[in-house]
Amino acid sequence: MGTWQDAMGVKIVTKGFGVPGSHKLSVYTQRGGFQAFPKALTWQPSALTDEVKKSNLRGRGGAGFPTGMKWSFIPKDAKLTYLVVNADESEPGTCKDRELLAYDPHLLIEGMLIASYALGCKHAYIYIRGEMMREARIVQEAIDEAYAAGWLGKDHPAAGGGGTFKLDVTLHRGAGAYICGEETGLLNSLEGKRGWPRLKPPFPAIKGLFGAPTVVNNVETIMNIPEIITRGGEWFAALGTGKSGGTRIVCVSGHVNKPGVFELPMGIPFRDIIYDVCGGIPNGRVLKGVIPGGSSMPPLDASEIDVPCEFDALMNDPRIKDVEVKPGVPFDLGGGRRLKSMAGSGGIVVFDDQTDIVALCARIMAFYAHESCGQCTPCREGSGWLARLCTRLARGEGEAGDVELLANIANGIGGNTICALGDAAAWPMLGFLTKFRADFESRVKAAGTAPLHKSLPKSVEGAA
Amino acid sequence: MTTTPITGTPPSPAPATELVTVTVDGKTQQFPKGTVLLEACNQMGAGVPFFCYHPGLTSPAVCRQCLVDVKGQPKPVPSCYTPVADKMEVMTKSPRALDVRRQMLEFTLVNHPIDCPICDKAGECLLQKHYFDWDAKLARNDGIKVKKAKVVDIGPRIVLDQERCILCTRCIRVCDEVAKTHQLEMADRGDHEVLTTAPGHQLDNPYSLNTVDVCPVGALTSKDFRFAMRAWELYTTPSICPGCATGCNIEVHHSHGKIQRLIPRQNDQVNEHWMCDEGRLTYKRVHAQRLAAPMSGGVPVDWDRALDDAGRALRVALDAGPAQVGVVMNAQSTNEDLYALARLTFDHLGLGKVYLAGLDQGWSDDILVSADKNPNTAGAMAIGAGRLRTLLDLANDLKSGAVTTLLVVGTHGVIGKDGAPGALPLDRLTTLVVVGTHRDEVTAAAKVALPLAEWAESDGTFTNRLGMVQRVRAAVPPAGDSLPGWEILSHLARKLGATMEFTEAKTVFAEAKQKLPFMKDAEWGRPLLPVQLRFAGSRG
Repeated sequence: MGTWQDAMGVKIVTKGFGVPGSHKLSVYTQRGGFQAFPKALTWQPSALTDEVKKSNLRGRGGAGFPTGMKWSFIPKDAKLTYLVVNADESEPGTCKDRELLAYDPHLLIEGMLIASYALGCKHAYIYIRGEMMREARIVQEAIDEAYAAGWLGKDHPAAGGGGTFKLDVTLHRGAGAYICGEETGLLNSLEGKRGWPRLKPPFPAIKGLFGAPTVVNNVETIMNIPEIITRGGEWFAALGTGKSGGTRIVCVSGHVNKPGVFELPMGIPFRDIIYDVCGGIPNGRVLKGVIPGGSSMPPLDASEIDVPCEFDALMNDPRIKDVEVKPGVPFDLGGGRRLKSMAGSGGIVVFDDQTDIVALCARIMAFYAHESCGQCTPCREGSGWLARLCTRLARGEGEAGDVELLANIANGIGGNTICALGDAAAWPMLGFLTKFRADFESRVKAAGTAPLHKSLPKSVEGAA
Repeated sequence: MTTTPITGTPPSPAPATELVTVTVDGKTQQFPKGTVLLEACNQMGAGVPFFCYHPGLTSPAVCRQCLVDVKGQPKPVPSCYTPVADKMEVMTKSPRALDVRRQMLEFTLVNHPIDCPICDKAGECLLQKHYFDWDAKLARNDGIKVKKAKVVDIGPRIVLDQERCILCTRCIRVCDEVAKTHQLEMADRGDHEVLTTAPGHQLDNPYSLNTVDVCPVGALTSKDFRFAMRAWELYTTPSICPGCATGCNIEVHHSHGKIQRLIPRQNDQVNEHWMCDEGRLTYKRVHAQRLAAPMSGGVPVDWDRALDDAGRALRVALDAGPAQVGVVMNAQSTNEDLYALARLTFDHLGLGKVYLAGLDQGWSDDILVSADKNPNTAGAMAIGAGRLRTLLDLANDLKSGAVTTLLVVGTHGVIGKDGAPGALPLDRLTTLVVVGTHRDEVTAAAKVALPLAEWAESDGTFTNRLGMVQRVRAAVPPAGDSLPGWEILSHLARKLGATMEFTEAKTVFAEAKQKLPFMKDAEWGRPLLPVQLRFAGSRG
């Protein structure tokens, strides 16, 4: 087992970045594409799932669930299964799937072919975010090319699955709701219903799209599959750290000199990402904190950035403080488990010491209030309440007790909702309060002196 | 059975179901496998609050109000979506469960207008009830609430207040699952989400008023009932809907002798939790165009005089020739009235020309509504036992002069809605004696007209299309001087020299139960006083 530095420079899913015409089938095949799929067809489907398990590939959409295990939940005797690729990337701070789709759509198609073969799926869907119009066009052209070349829509001789394998792929454009990136909200939307998340159980692996067993995987997750088949699960696992195989794509934004989308080693610490990969903080300012994986994840403060940008480390590393409900009282994730942070979708947002933390938090809360689907009460009512209170504090008009109230509301939302969107609003709220409590307390009216930020989120103007 | 208890009761489980043992707050009880945990908790008296759950609908678990602690579960679970499991240990009143439920209630109230003083649902509102039961604290939200539309006309019978709506989706599910039509929808998101009608639709399905019943707050109000009455001033009497042969179990809500509304009462064999909009409005006829006083020769007289005149007129006709005396029964009458009339007609007077009247056939569906718009056709047919003729026969007999004297008991449908009055040539009769509820062409044509109590004014039973004998209870006093049919017929029998000493409806029922096979398993039930609607009887 080497160090994370060994994997520096390894490219699995960003190989097409910067290659002229990389989204074309001809360029993709020149680069060695569509070799993993014929190889996979010589395997039994179950062997593919085992290989993915061996690779320690974890879902790149946010939760980091082991992909192989997710695949193995599909009942063995299922007659009809679906694969749905979640390309509804909408977590603030995340922009990796968009680039991946624009540069290498055929890698996604090849990954879908292999995954569908492993899952016994005959019709796979790509649910793409409505705003990604350019990418939707590119992906559709790629699908058309793949049909014309016979990769899609034609029988291929296969070792398993009754001797032949054929896949159809449909691209479906969403209408731009954040909640439709939640896998069961996505399935409802794909079925033509309101994009409300479903109650679990039953999980999609048992009852998913149109009632059939379904696997929903992120774009980046599926794009890793061909390389795993080509180079083996063990190689992929060795590339990563601990129980997380492969590389990690991060999208760095905020106060860094060189923001962008980078494919990096799984175990790289945030310090190296900020100061080496992204060239440090502009104007000689000092780091105040980092959002590690999209705005729904609790932030890290400047003292916590030596932690690797890896799934388990962000959840368990003792260098990260527990998120608290109030000073000294940790937030209960359930059963006494503590919340630190999570790797999420890889959207890293860096902020320097000039940042108005309360205004930043108010903007994040305004986002979740706007995007709450409205199905279950705590998130629907609580997220709007958080946004209004945060905005009031950001204006310096907070009342005494507002800070405690924010924490109490967030604590009431967290863990009590149907889907994770409630947590997505509650966790950062509690995280910001834990790490930057003084910033909030300075905005209570009685405190008096706090300077105000110029631009408050427009969507909650006048609501408080 | 007075009012539907707040938790309702679950559909009776299939026999021979596996039982599991559940411990709730330290008490242990067995439940059929698959029972909803919320039902189990509340059957054991835990009183777990809820909004979106309804025993007759699917559980979406959206309100999060029924969260309880289950041993081994890291977080509180929505008990409405959790089936009981063997050896499950549930704490409905652990500090965490109480705290999280109080917080869910607070969330529900964050943007609720709390306009209870002007809200029709006040007094029977689940939100109000749960607030007083579980929270009763000052609001911590001192900011401005989200504004929504207050008066939205969403259909011919219902008005929506979007601010009061707590977005529990019960009404959407009633339309989807009971009426089988998708007319209601959610629009917008987050705390700006509103209930609205589906594009191009309005809420006009034949079961739309059930949405008002299930609405836990005052968001959906019935145009017929809104602003009529404070709920806690109503009294409730259980009864049976007279609108069709289905015999939906209902509660009659009334005050000061007037019916204010009819609402369904749970009976899983008949109507589950529902009734149709048409049935709900059948109460209107109880208070319209009633025959209030006995009439003889077109002028109001007292009962003694009217009975004397009726008895004399019939006596004369019977003496002249019993073969020319006809009797009209009505499928709107109770079994007791029909039995009394059958005894007088067949047993005492030995008459043969007996006809069955009733309201015309109408529309039907495969949900609740029957084409037969009479509540007791089955009872009338059974009591008539093959001796009943049709109104067509009557028209022919009148035209041919085979019937010259007629006793009509119940005038509903005697002259059909579309049929011109001339179709039944009542003017050919020498004597017409009518026992009727309303001032209509039949009572107007009568030599003697005796005022009859309506279904909501008399005790008795109806036999529905499934042959179930169901109890009708007097909810309001009879209009004017009217009397129940069995009582009028007892008096009339005495005038005609027959002895039929019925003193109350129950004695008629008891005799009929012995004589008539279809009534042998029927139960009269305990006497009930009308119950005033208070929080205890909250419908929700």
